[in-house]
Amino acid sequence: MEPRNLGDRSRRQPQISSPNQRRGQPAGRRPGHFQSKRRQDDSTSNLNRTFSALADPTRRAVLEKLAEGEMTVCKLAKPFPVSLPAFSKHLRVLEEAGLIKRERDGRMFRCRLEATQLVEPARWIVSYGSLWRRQFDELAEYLESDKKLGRNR
Amino acid sequence: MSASKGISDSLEITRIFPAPPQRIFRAWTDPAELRKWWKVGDGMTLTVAELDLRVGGEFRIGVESREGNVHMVRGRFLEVIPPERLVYTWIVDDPNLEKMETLVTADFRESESGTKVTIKHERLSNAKLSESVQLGWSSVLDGLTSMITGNT
Repeated sequence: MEPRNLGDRSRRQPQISSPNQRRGQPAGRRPGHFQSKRRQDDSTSNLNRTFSALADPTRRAVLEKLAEGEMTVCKLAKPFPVSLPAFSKHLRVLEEAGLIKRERDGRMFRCRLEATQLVEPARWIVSYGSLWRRQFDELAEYLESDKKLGRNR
Repeated sequence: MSASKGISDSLEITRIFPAPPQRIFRAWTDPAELRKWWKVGDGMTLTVAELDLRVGGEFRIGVESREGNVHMVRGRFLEVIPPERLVYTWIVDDPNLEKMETLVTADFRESESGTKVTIKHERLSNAKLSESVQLGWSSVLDGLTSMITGNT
């Protein structure tokens, strides 16, 4: 057992899991009795990540947009007045929080809402929030055009 | 404070429109008017608008996408107080979705510059969520609700 070989990923040989190899794994990777405690910490930090990802209005708007369906990063970025690198950073934060998923599609990247992270009510809140806001916009526009025709009241 | 309130499964959105409450109420409840503004999204047109505007009366609203998919919402009026208040149930009629009865309250209050419209959409939670999940997520949902609806 030569420990320095373990991390060598360039080896083309099939990896056979032998008791010897398992013993050679770094201690931190081995299931241990601290696991349940660690899992608890993980879920707390997941919540914190979700929270801080949602704390930004641009990122919330991205989620609202994605509630309409998956789309390419270019299309998604269009309505936002930020540079593409800045926008990518927002997407990365959302992705790390598990709220969205980015997938390569040819030369483009597609984004979609990661439904498993947003529990059902949260998903409805996001999508209805954007629905009502849109309906308000439509109503305001309609009333405005109607007013111009002198039909108000 | 989230503990006393329980799970937050509602959202509230408010906006002021420069028109009197009567005008807004009509736009909200007259099928012919609804057809002119209720769009739901780009490329969507309202193709079904049936409203029996009285307590216990039912409504159906259907929007059709360019591809011809119809999205239907139906419900029943629980309160009808023209021109200031409407309370109705809201059920998305989609075979792919679990039928979920939610509750919408629309308030039309006269204000200096027109009408202050407040939409409260409640009971957005899924009854199947286990209690433990609810407890864990209630604070997230509280935060989410206020963040999403807070700056409108």
